Amino acid sequence: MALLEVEDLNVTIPTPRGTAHILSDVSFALERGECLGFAGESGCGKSITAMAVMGLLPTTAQATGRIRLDGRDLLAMDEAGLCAIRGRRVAMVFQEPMTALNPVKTIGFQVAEGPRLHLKLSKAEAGRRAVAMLRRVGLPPDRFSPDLYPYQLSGGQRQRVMIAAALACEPDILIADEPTTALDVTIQAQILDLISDVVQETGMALVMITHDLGVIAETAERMMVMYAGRIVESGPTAEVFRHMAHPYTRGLFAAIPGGPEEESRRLATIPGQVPEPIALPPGCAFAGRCARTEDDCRAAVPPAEPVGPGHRVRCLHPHVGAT
Amino acid sequence: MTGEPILRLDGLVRDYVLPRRSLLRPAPRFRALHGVSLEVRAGESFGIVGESGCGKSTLARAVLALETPSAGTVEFMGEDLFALSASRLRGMRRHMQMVFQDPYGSLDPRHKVGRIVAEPLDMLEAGLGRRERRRRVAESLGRVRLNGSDADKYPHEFSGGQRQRIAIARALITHPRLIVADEPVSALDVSVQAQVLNLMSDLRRDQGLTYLFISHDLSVVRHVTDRVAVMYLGRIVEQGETAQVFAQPRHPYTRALLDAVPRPDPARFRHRHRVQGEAAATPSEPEGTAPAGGCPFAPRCPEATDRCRAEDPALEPRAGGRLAACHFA
Repeated sequence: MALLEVEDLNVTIPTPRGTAHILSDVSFALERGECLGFAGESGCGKSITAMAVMGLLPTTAQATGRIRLDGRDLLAMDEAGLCAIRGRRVAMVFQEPMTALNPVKTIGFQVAEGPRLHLKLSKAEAGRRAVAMLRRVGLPPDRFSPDLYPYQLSGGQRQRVMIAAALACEPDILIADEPTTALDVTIQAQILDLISDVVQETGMALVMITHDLGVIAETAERMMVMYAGRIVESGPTAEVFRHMAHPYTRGLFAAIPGGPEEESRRLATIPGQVPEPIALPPGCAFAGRCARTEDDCRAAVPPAEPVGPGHRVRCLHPHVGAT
Repeated sequence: MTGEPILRLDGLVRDYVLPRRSLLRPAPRFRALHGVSLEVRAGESFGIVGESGCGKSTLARAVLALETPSAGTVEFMGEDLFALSASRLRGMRRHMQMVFQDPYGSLDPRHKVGRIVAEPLDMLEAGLGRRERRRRVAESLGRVRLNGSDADKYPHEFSGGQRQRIAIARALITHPRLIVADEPVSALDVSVQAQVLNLMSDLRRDQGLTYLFISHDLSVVRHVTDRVAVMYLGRIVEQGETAQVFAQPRHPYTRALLDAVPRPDPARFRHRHRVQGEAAATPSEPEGTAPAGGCPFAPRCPEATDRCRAEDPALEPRAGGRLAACHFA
């Protein structure tokens, strides 16, 4: 049994203009110690997937399907049950290290909070663990006292504190939602290395959520590409990069500056826009922007068909051959 | 395509006075620009790259005369901007416009697009008739491939990429020569970013625009600029033809920067030699006492020697028409 199994997860949010379909038929499994990447653009549902796993969906959202952690369905669990899991079994690192930390509590207190709450450690024990965690993420106590406040640290250092806090209870799953998007590129590289290293050391599973295919390539063994609330392509990272089968994945890749189009000075673009979640078309959500669209694309949502070893794609007319 | 220098910065210094720590001591200063000199030629796209706090936005503000430098000059179209009278300066502003990073924050949500795009005309070309204004707005929107009818909509009716095009239309309406673009695509998704970058390339070709393109994103800068300057803690550390700088960086900081970019290529060797530490910009001592010498990058540089810690390297010509500020470049 996989550590985390998500099956047919659907999330809708009622709005005055109609029902917004935020996630549709999202299914995936995460093994112990595995690094899984979620890629996609704003609004594709990658963060909402993480929120659903954490039991942090907005109160108006309605979720159906199953999210099983070690066989126990998180969607059926009450708040007290979720509280025992959040931060203990599943921990999260957010994008904004500026706002995710409490500005009026010291960093030592914030890292120690989890162990005190979940592991019932005494104040002194939790404090010692906090120092050890901060040391592990590159904030040794001689230079970065646990009595510092977040405002005294740079963005990269704050993100290190976030990671220390997430690791403090030795969770089984670390979810990192755009952990380096707000950081400078040299600091981003340090933080990505740090995350990869601690994941390897502790053997926990990593869910890396990012818009940056470069970050996926460097951190994830397996990847999912999301579009308009659906997983449109999934597979081992190397395999997906070698044979991008979905036209959207190829479009996303070609739009990155510095890619194969470099010489021509024109970037490949994807025409049009993502359909609104309250007005998703009956067929493939990408059909309106896709150069390979045929009539059957508009009729029904394509099933996730295998195209290679462990590689599935929701497309009726996928690309074949190397990227 | 590129010609005479249109913009010339010479020894630009900008100090900010920070709050006093103690009543008895003079207020500390932070030097955001440390004597920056560069030339941008008409019709070229010149990139400034660097990380937060390197001074690139201060540089942009000084170029647009929004910020008065503590020392040094900015010469635009042959005029020293800070020697001009207020009215002459206003006349010059028609020729330089800016595109900002955040297409959500830079458009007033309560104004219709037509009014937003026409706004520079109110200040810089007052006295235009209503019909002429409408014509200019429609012309500007057309250039960024929006419809004239979009002038009657509000910003919230547009996506992020369309909003950034509205911001570009606003910048184009005075027919400027120079556009300073400060992180113009950082807030956009990659597919939308590509649309805006292509549009900016087309506009440059068709209108003969000059860009000062400021970004932290190396791949974007590589794609849209002809020449590039890499900044670190208020100084230019390397400058040259974009393709050459990216292919063969001479300054260790440029190398570190390029090396840190995650590439969408899982086959690539994963752990590289990372540059450690962070850019520490400590407020300098009050004026009169010389700041500690040495290369500003030395504390993080894997190749730093005693000489680097003692002697600040000058930005000097190196092989291949390159400028680099490193003793070992």
